[in-house]
Amino acid sequence: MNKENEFIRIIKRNEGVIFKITTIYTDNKEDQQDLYQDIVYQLWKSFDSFRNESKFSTWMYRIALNTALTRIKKTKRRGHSVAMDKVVLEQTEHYDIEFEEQLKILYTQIQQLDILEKGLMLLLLEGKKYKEIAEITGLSSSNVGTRISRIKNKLKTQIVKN
Amino acid sequence: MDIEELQVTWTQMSEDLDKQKRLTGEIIMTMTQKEYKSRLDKITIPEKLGTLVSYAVAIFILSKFNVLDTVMLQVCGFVTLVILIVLPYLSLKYLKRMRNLDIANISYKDGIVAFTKSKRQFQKLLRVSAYLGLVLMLIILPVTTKLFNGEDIFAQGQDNSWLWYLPLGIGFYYFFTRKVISSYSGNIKKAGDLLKELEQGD
Repeated sequence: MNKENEFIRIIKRNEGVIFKITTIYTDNKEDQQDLYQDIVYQLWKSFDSFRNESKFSTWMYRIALNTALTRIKKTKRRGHSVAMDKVVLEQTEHYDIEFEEQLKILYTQIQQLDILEKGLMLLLLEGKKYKEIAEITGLSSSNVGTRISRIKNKLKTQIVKN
Repeated sequence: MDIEELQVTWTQMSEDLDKQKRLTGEIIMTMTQKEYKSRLDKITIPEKLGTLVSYAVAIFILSKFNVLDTVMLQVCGFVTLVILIVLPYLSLKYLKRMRNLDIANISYKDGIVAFTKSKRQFQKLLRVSAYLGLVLMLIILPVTTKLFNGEDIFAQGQDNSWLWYLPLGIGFYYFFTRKVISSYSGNIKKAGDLLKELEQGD
């Protein structure tokens, strides 16, 4: 399989993951699309470096999260701000109202976390083990554990408040 | 909704997303083309245009510097030149550093540290720029008055009654930049706290 076909296959397999990352790091459709394209572009640009790595998902999450980091600044400077539910509703038009509501709550909770917490929360929700989260984020496993329990407490407080 | 419910919602959404494949090979490969990257580059255009304008004004002042014939005018001219040349250069330098993050080879934590450091430096520069903008507004007046009208506003006997408008300009500038400066200060503090926490963390 040539490089292009291999890349297409991998992106197709992970398009949902990329979509979820773009959703938590942006607050409007236009920025989300830009970030999506930027992540795919950065993955393609670095695709050769992946070939030497053992685990694709670690490599992909790292590049996608780092790309999102650099996009945050650009987005903020442009000053766009559209209600979060517009992004969610675009993707979930076929869902029932109750599930849409749950999604809105979920994204609203995540949006209130800081940049590091957002990344950790995403990886936790994706079902990653502490060891892999540590590998992607560069934190130690014990530090990941401490931070995640702090995030859980923060979310509990947020949820109670709301 | 508690955390377990958030997890359930996330999992359900993930399963649904996995079912609805939208991308085709053609769309994916189009995204890898340079034209999409250039869309992002457009964001720095205001900075680049601002630099061009600043440098054009600086070149104009430099070319007529001999017209500034008193020490006061020369000092004002020199400080104006320094502000017009150095600030845009630093601004573009920090932006370039933020864009050139080695996305593929650093961890998320190192990415945050590197990016937050650059962002903090950039915002500090913007805060200094806001203050220097006020200085520039004051010192560019005698320079341009001399260069365009041949008048030295520091010389005695000049009709400087229009200078009464200056406090108005300063007041306007103050209110305009106050919010910007306080917002940068808040961000710089937040960035500093995050860096401190990350550097102490491991």
